[in-house]
Amino acid sequence: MNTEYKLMIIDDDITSLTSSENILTEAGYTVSVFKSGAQAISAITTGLCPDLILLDIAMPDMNGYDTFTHIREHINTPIIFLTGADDTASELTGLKLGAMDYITKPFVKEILLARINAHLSTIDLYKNAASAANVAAEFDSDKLASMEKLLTESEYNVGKLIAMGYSNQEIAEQLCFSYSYVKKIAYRIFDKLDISKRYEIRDFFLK
Amino acid sequence: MDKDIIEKIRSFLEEQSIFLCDGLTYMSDDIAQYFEGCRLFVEYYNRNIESFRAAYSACDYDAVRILAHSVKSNANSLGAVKLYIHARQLEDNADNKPYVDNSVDDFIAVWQQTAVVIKDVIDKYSHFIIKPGPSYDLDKDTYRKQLHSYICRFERKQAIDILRYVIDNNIDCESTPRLEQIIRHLEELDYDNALKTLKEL
Repeated sequence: MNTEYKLMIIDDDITSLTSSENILTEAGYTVSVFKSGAQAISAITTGLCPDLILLDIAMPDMNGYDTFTHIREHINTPIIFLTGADDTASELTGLKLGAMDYITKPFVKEILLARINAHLSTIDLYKNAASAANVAAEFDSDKLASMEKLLTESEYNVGKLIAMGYSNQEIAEQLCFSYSYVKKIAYRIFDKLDISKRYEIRDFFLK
Repeated sequence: MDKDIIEKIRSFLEEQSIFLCDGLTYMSDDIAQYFEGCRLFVEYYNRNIESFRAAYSACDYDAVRILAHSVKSNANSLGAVKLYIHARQLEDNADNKPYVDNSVDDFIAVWQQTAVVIKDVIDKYSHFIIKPGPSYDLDKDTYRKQLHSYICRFERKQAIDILRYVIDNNIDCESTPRLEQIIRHLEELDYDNALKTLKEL
């Protein structure tokens, strides 16, 4: 099943948004949906961290390109533009910004799903590598459970990697976050755990 | 769905310049998905056309362009070629005020006509599509927790599916009006008010 993958769709056109949402949910993905860039960014800043983002371009207030730039200030999640703008200039702008792909609407359902699957397959590789590292670090399951309750999902994931000795830069690369976002999360964790040194976090996660 | 019925739908739509084959290509020949696209087109038609009229009345040509762009994309996905062409021309010329002023009535007329035809098809043929909804093992206490969790994670479809299941299976009869209100909030992607209404249950 695809439910392990979290997708985010941002599109001001509710008809089109709902259609994409239905297709991806039926394909088994966990899908969160937003009608504007501002709404999605607000969710991201509170810890929502999808594996892949599908982003429209022609939106009022904050267009897809601006939304892309703002998202990048917080997370490095791969972004695909999913848009009705089928001209070369728009596509080039999107790809130059750093989008993983550029898909025009209307799309062929099976092609959309195949492309998303292909992009997500790289995340599988990362997940396998991360779980191998978890085993090596000898986590304490009771401690993990209490941390899971205390911390948000992003804090928990960052905290585990800090405990394993990763630098903020390495964590940013592994979790597709920006460096500054990891730094911000690390401060939040230190505050919650009432610690000031990175190594002290090991007591809260490891045996 | 029976091939003869699909042929009837194809022929009916084609008379109105709506090409089922084009739409089905985008939906990977999934007629249920095509009907879902039709349902969404009709469901949001009133809201979208009101937004369009408001944007035009306010001379907000950027909003006119964005709305024409949306109509273009949705029309194309259903094979509604005539509407697609009108919407595309309006999008491309949205900064040309005389062009917009001259073409807006035609555009709205084609849009209206397309919505009427599509609604007609839904009314006549959607009962041929049997698509069972999801099934849950939920009681009055557990569904609220599950629902809260979906809304907090912005997983709108899962939240709406649970709400419809609870309403259809009379799991929380006295809360039905509120649950319908939550569905309406979620349809507009208004998560804050959806949560607020859920907390009031």
